[in-house]
Amino acid sequence: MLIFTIRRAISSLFVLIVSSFIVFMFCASQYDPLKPFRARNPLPPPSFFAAKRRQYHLDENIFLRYWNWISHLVDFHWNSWLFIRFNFGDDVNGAPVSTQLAQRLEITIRMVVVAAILAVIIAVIAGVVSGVRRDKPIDIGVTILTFMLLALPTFWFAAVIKQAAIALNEHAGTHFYTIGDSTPGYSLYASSSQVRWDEITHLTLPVLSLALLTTSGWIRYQRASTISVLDADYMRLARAKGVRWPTVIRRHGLRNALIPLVTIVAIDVGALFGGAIITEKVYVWHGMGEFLNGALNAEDTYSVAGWVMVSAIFVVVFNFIADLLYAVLDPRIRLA
Amino acid sequence: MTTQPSEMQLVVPGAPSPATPDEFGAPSMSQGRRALRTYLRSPLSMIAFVVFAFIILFSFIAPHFYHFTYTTADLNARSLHPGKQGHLFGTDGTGFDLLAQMMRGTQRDFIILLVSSVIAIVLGIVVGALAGYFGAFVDNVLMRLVDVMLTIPALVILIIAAERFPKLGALGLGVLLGLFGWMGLSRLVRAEFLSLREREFVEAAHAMGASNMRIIVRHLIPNALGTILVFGTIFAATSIVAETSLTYLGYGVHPPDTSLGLLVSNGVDAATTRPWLFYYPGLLIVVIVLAINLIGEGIRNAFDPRHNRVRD
Amino acid sequence: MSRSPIDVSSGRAPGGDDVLLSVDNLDVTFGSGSGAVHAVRGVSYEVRRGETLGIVGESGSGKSVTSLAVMGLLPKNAQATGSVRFRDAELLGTKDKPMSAVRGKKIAMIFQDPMTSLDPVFKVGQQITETLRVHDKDLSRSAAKARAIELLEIVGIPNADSRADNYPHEFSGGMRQRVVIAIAMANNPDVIIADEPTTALDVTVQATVLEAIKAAQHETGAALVLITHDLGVIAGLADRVLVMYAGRAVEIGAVDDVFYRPRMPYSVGLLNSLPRLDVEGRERLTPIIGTPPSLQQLPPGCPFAPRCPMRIAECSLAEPALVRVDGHSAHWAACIRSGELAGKDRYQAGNVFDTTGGDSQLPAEVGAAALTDDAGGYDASPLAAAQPSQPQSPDVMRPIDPPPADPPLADPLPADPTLADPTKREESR
Repeated sequence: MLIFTIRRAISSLFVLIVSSFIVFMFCASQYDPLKPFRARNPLPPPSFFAAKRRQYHLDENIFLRYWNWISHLVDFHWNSWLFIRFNFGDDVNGAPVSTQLAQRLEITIRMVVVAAILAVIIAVIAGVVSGVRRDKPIDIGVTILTFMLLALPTFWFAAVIKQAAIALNEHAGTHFYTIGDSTPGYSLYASSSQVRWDEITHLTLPVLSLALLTTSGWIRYQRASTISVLDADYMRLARAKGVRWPTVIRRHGLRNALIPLVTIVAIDVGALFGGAIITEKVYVWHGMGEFLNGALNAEDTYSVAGWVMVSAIFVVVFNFIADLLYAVLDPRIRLA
Repeated sequence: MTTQPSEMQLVVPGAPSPATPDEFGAPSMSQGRRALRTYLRSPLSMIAFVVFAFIILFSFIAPHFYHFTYTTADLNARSLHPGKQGHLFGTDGTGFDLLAQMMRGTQRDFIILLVSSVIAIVLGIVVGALAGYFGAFVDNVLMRLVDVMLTIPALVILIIAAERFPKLGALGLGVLLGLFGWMGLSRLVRAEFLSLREREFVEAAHAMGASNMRIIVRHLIPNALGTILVFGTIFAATSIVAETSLTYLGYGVHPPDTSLGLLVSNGVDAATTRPWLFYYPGLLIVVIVLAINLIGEGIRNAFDPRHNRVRD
Repeated sequence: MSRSPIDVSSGRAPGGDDVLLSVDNLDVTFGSGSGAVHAVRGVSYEVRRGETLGIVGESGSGKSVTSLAVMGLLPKNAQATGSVRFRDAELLGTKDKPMSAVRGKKIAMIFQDPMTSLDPVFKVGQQITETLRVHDKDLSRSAAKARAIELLEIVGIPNADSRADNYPHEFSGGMRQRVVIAIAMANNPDVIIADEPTTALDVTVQATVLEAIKAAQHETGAALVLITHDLGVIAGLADRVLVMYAGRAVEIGAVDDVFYRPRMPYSVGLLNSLPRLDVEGRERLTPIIGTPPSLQQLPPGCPFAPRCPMRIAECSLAEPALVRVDGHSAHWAACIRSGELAGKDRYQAGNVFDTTGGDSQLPAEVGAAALTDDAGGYDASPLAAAQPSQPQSPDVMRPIDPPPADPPLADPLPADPTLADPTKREESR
């Protein structure tokens, strides 16, 4: 187990370095953060451009820039979480990227975690029931629903939900928050529990739309897994032992059927931490996704590279968790 | 250990055999033909296929018969409701006919879908087959490559590519989507190959002197065909959705070219005042993607060996 | 097709031990309509305490389906009619809850594929204690565990106490099957059904598994229903044997009777298709030509007729009933010409097959020719034309009165002198 972890850590490190290298090279060589200035009328003086070029390290060799960036990436500090502090450089406005990413991450995590939990619960229940009652009305209903959900473009669905919420607000007097992750300035005068509640209610719609879309794929997967488990020989043997069918499903079927889903969930959630970009845009949440969008528009190499690194770390960590969970749940898998 | 009779392959894959009476008096067919028959017998799958084919054909053929094109804007006919002045689906704020735009958009989306799926499938099969068949070092290297590709956001590369090559269009978008979408299939193919390569028919093929390439192409890939086809349809569906998402974010297809995604994202603002601009293209996307998903489901059922088995 | 009612007062063995399991006219159909498969068609048998009944047949003969019907484990698209009685309690049609009280406690089952029969995520010991505790709610965990270890020892698993905490994938195929046997005998059932327990295993491992089954039977005193296509396994373990073909029982009797004095051509063919160890020199194997019929489209009359070298016109008219073989109360055969096989041992009877065993024609061709036959009668001309006609050996079947519609069968092989005198031959198992 220890050896597996070490080997995995090393290869993950390798993956992180290579992908960050590729992205950094790509961005550093193609990006021109001075573009908006070039379009200005009157044109700023050459000294301005020179100063900006120094600030953005644009005159340096890009390999050197990468080396400087990666070598100062991680800092060890007493106060910080896990004793690690990240330093991603500064963005085009001079502000440190890491602090921004930290703020954005906190907001995105809220949405992603709650949506993921909701999606897992729905997926397990719907998938198992659908699989056990295959071809019966409930299965047909769930199947139709999941196919429709799978077919919906993210923003279209999110926009439709938003429209529905607005209509409901108008006609039924409900208070669904359609914009933002919290009421701006609320924390200045409200108690902390009120602020918490405010944040929670702002979560409703985005979590709903994100969870429903994410769960649709998981439901299909869980259903297929349940169906193949139900057909297994060991289920028949358990019945032949005298165990009643509902108990057989619960004890033998469920455990075996959930194993594949666990890995899928872990991997998908890892990917979600890169920010549910579309959902954030529709609901105007200032999270990781919006940050990337802005960084790409501004052609800001360090912001993009920092974002990629954070996102990649999540992907890698969750892939690792997925493999670990799989080994824990399925005794046939031994981590070499 | 002896192989279970019930587990043995029904036929040697790859070679379609003429219908000969087998021990149960029913004609035996190759796996592909049997799957096709099962598919043709499923009403839902056939409906999905017909709908999909109709939409695509319509989008390519009907523009020749329609009096409006997607390039001409009639400034006197702006924001018309569907049905007015011969505009079957109405017009947008600039006077473009919506139906013409939708047909053109469907054409573009179909090209994107086709190109990206072909690329993703080919790359996925190649990488997955090599990793799964040769295992060990090759597998390690290729899977690290997959991990790297997975961590690089397609968005970044896409946007830069769109900058440098403004003539990107549907073809280029399709290529890029394909280049970033093969990783999932490679994992699936790898898993299939890892288990398939332990089966006796591989040993037998080796013993008969078949080369590695021949085994991979003639024996292993046909056995993984079900998984590959299902992934293909899922990927086709996701590539359309991905295109709409990209366009919504501001990347992807640009005017004067159009796509369903562009139409919908333009229509978002008009959702309450001119709902046809938002819902019509959106619904068309939903129908197309739904059809593709159902086709994929039909293929999965067709390749499922379970309902061919009558226990002894 | 005609279903022959069986005389149930068949073979009560002398001594009259109580009948534990009684299957009467069991009929199982999968699916419905034109695609329906009639897998089991009117099978009846009885099993008494302590005896071993072997059920023999090819793939597709329906032998596994009968046992699944007894246990109530048929898939949803199967309909079973008839009667399955365990000690006067009707099992067919019983709901899951009362049936679960019977399964594993009164009737236990051993399945075919040990690699997939055990749940991979539970330890082996846990899977044994599960069956113990589901039938005895008051059994404590430790007592159950101790019993599980004891059971593993009985079936011959070394280091049972530590092995009980291992997972199934840590066992080999043969050991896994022994675990399955331990599970089956855990609650001292009255009947154990073993459905092809050795089919999936290597020959060397088969012996150990059979030993474990014997140990289980000895320990529990249960009746054993042993289903297999391997005649050697039957010969070693069974007291009585039931031969199945195309979903029906075609011969039932004591093992000695059926093996040495078979009275149905199919049994004769089966027994003669085995290579013989006691003959010097080379001898061609005598296969049964053709393939089993499709259970969806059975030919009228005897289902074996297309492949039977003894067939006559009457065979295709109606399915023969299981009829008591003359002289034996417990030996039944379903063939209208079984009387002609009387007095012959299996090798003599087997000569009937030699004519069709020639390899100058591919089996498929002959099978195809046989399958395209109509009910009128068998046209022997293709075969007769292929074989040069030889003088008949005195041991070969003579045509009886009334003379058969087809020409007398020619015997291409020279007569084996040892066959002339049965007393000279050594019986070898």
